[in-house]
Amino acid sequence: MKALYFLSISLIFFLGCSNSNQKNTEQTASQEIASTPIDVIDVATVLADPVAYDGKEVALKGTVVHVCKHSGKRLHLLGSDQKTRLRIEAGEIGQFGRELEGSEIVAKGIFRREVIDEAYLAKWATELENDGSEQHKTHEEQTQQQGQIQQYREMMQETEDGHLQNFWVDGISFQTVDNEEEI
Amino acid sequence: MKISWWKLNNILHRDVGYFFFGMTIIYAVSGIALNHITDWDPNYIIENRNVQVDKASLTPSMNARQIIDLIDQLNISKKIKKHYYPNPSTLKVFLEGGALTLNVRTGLGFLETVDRRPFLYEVNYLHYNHTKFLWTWFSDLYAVGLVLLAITGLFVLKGKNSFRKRGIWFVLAGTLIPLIFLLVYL
Repeated sequence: MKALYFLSISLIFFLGCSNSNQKNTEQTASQEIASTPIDVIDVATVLADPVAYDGKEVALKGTVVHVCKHSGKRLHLLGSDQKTRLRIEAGEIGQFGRELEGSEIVAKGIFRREVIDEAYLAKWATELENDGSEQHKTHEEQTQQQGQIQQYREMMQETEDGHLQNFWVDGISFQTVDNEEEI
Repeated sequence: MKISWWKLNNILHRDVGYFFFGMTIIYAVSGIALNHITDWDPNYIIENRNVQVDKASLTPSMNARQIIDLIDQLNISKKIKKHYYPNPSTLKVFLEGGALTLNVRTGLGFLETVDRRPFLYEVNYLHYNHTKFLWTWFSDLYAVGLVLLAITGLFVLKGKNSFRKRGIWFVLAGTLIPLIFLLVYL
């Protein structure tokens, strides 16, 4: 009876393990996709020609200058020109640790580009109005977002082509690079 | 052989309880820590202090040697990782476990130190399932174990303290509380 009992416990655990082996295979496959050799490029290179990289997998090297304090769900990567910054969303990575601030990393992910033009803002405003009437959003949220729309409109007026662009990377994986300052 | 279901129930309750002792501590402690995430940082101890350095020692483009001297001047024992200028008047020095931000024109700034909370960082890491892979399955197994503990727990005692005579009222009260919250807030 005792043996049967321990056997049952072991069986439950091993069933879990065998399933997880299957999961591991899937995970390995996704890691292999993530580790497909692609050229490591600088943040500034991507932002110099964002249309060419839109929706493509990139491996970006840069210094982590900010990690979201509340969630760790995103970080800002600084390019080698010390001016260009790009947001990396944790995505499949899960969460970024605060210790990454100041570290040089290579982040792999899908580069995303969003064009903010008048049509985009008009759609947003309509959705906001509908949400308000259906009470999905609080008055405070509505006011905040209306302010944001207005701010984007003002910013758009100052641009030559009449639209703004938002860039980020949906992270797949990352690794730190040894980056102690040389004296 | 006649199986005593009551005995089997108690054995199961006892041994599953023993086996998942560690998991219960991990999830309970991190559960409390993460439940109050809006009030504190459950993973890091963050301290800020204002600093003042001799502004003559600051230049708009300092090299690594000068940064080391600057850190020494402030008696900071942390290792330097990197430095950069977010804007012409600000110098940011990243340290192992913190950062120093200085106004290069005034010499005023602040030092932020970030240290992992011992034990809590680790249990929160597991609670968030950052390890993934096997941990996902083991924590699922723990959840099944909790259900098993709850059910078998109902039938451990016989007599006046049994589920039928005493336990039922506690079960009802404990179930009613979340239901009241749902009725009020949902």
